Amino acid sequence: MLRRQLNLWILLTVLTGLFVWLIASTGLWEATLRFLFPQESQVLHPRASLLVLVWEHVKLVILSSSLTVLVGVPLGIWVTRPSGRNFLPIVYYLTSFGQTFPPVAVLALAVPMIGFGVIPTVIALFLYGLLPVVRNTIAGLRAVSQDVLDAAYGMGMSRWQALIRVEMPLAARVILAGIHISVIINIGTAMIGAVIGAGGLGSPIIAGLVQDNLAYIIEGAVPAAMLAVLADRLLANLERLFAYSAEKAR
Amino acid sequence: MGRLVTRDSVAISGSLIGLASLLIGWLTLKPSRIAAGTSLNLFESIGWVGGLTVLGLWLACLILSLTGKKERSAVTLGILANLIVIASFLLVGLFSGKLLEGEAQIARVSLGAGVWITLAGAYVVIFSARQTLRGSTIWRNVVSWAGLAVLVFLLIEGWFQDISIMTEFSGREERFLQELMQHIFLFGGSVAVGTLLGISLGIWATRSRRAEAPIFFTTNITQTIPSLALFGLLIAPLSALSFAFPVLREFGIRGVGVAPAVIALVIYSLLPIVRNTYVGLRQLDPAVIDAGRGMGMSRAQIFRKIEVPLAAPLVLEGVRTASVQSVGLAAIAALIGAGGLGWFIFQGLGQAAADLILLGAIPVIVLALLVDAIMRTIVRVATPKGLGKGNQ
Amino acid sequence: MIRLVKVSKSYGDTIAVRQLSLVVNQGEVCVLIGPSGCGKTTTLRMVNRLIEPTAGRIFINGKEISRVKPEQLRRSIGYAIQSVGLFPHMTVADNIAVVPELLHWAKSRVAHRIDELLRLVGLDPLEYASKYPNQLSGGEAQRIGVARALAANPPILLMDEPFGAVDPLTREKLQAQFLRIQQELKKTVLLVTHDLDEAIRLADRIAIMASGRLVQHATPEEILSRPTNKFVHDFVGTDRALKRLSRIGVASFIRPTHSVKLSTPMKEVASVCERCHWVWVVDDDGKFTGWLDRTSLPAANSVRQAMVVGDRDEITITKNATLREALSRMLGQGFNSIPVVDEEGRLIGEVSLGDVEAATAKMEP
Repeated sequence: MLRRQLNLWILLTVLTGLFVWLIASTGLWEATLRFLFPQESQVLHPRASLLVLVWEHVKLVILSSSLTVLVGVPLGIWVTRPSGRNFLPIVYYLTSFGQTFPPVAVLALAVPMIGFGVIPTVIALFLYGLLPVVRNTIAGLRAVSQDVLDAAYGMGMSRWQALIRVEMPLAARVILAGIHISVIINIGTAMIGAVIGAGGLGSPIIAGLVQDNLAYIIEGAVPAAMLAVLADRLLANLERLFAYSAEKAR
Repeated sequence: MGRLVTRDSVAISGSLIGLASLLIGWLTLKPSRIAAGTSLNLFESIGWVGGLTVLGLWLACLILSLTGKKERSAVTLGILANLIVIASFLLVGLFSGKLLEGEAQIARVSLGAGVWITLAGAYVVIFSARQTLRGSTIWRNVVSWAGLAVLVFLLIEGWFQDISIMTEFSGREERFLQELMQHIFLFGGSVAVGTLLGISLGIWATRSRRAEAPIFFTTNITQTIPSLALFGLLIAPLSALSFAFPVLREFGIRGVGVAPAVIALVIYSLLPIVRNTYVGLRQLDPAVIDAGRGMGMSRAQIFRKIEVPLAAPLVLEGVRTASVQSVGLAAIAALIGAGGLGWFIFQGLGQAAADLILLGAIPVIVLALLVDAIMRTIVRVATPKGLGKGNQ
Repeated sequence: MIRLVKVSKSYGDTIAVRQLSLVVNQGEVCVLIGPSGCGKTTTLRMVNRLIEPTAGRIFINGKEISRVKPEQLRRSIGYAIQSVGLFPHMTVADNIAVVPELLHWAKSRVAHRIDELLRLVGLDPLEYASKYPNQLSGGEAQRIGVARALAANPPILLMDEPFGAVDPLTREKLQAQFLRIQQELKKTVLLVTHDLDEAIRLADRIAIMASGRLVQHATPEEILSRPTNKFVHDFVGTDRALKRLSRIGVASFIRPTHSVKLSTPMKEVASVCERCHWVWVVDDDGKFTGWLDRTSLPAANSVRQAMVVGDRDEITITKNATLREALSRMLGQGFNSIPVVDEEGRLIGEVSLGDVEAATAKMEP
């Protein structure tokens, strides 16, 4: 099991390396796109290189997702503590109610309220990303059995020790699954951020659509798809790392 | 000590949110549709009488939630919060017209953050009242829906005609209806196709070990790909196809437009439906099927009489997830020329016209909520009485 | 020593425990028993302050516990519960190490302690230390639960149905093990159960509770022979005499017995105990293997051929067993005596039905 884990990490590292190399190889992209779309006079989005676009995109996601985790996990913890228990129903309800909102609508609503650019995009991504994180934090913590908690307190752990040593490790996998969902949604929604001027991999696609340039569209779409799948696999593997069970012992 | 326990901290927070909302701008007066406006405070917006009314209602809410016994005060609190909602709607509609008197024709009045936050605070209080009123169905429903019912009534009556988003709407009624229908067609059609395809794939995955892994691998991967990227990836091959076979264009198959949108939406709706069909069929207790076989049912009968009814709720739950998701994704499809309510959003973003953005975004949200509610009802109806699921 | 003085606990209008006073002496096992909802678990949980009493005072070794920080208090009291509550993300060793680590023991001392405890509860440290709870059987998990409760060598042990969630056979083994460990460690134990047989077997004193009140607090013998009122009388049931047998060890009832070895020649067999209808058969190490019926002798030409092979676990008892176990074996097998063996399975004597009957007759009514 541990060996398989290691192999997967090695594979993912290699794939990430390949991905970075690929997006850095401007010449390769240009040649391929020229070959595929001979009718276009220009095949690479002039605003920025692919590497910069990917970096902009990753920055948006990392910024918003870190905020999400920093706020969402403590919020989920708080509403499962005695001091916040009164707020549990409404917070839980809001997370499922909010998840019905289309992400693109949330992004659109940010503009009238905050304006254009990176900041409203990050705020919208952050708010929308909160939902699965808070929801899963609550679900994970509530799934910890009462007996285990009883044993923890009975053995003389303080509330804080029980949280850190027992509850959080047991809930970790579910919480990570929430972060996973949140990050993947954010990668997708950040694409639309290009429309409100946040840059990222959406911009060549939008430019391609506006200027009717197929090459631009592919230049944005292919790396975006690869980025998302890569992030998905990385997070899935991270989740697996926190599976406590018989498998881990072997 | 007893008082502290029954004290309703959620309602208190709602009231505090409401009171805080009175400090920020309630209405914004803009010289034109895209110009930046001036934010008007509570009393400038809805007058002294209106402002004091709302303030009074909020103070009453706060005092009641601080002192009252939770059980007894819940109905009163719920009614107060609904009164706040209704009063805000009435006043905002009334005063938006008054504010525009004497202004230029192109001047607009839009809702400020204060109104939205007051509504949010009121619904926090209403939620808390609802929680307490578990026993009484009638009061629960009154408290939950009274404010919204008045809103719908006022909307139909044209009470808000002077508020900018409605101004944006008037003159675009036809276009709005057309894009709304297009939106429903886009997500409804794709989910319908996705459901048929998804259920078939789901059944196939349970029946064949060889098919199982590839089906889940593919649907999982495609679900991960950002929607805009998937739209983009479909455009190139489709346009190549329509170049090669111009006939296709007569059927509407071009690089951009409805074709890639529908294909992408179908692909996205697959995963939840396939997964739930698979789980729905797999979770069945083998003993039940065994009993059916023991009673002499044929394989087709077992499928029809046991597997379908028992798996239906989960499958429909998958359809619900897919539908809600598709309503949102269909909005993005406007970017590739497929139309729908997203058209207003992106037009609005392009023109930096906030009200036009809202004209797209708010209906999309309402549509998603409606679809969610309808599908939840269907799931509940389809759940066999003996299974306690579906009622969340 | 645990001392409860007029302790009450109420939840709103319902009173869970009322005016309960109880003393558990040093090194004594006190079993709290009663119908469900009688307040026994509440009482137990008040001792380590998982529940705070509404009124009354609780002392441990003379010190009032409300003056000790709850966490500190609990670290000095072992706590084992029915559901065990092992931490599923920690190995067996890590589970046992929790309290010692909370108390900042040195690493080597903790490791040593884990080894010692696993051995104490009869599990091989090499095999079990690195296992995860989901790899354990119910009985093994319960033992780890007990080991974990003993980890920091607390003088006091609180146990809430510690052998509740396992099958009867395993429970019996765990009880026997508990008695052996208790003999060695002499902890002050407060144990909650709803199983009267368990109480009679384990307790030095039994405290019977009903609707939050202490009804009788006495030795098992006393409770069985002199129930204080109708409730206790009904609670202990009509088979009191039988239950009392489980308080009496077989040790003083073991008589020497006759046996033959597998290798004993046939002609010598006939001369061993001529009056007996049967004799026990042992192997060359003296370990019990079965019995020999005299009527089958003439047809056979070796002991091995003539004997009935018997399962040692099913037929024999050890010298630590109670008269009740002996009786149950006899009735189950249809024997009027039952072989007694030592730890290695070597035959050391037998207990006869007549002696058990005599012992019962001698008891006070």
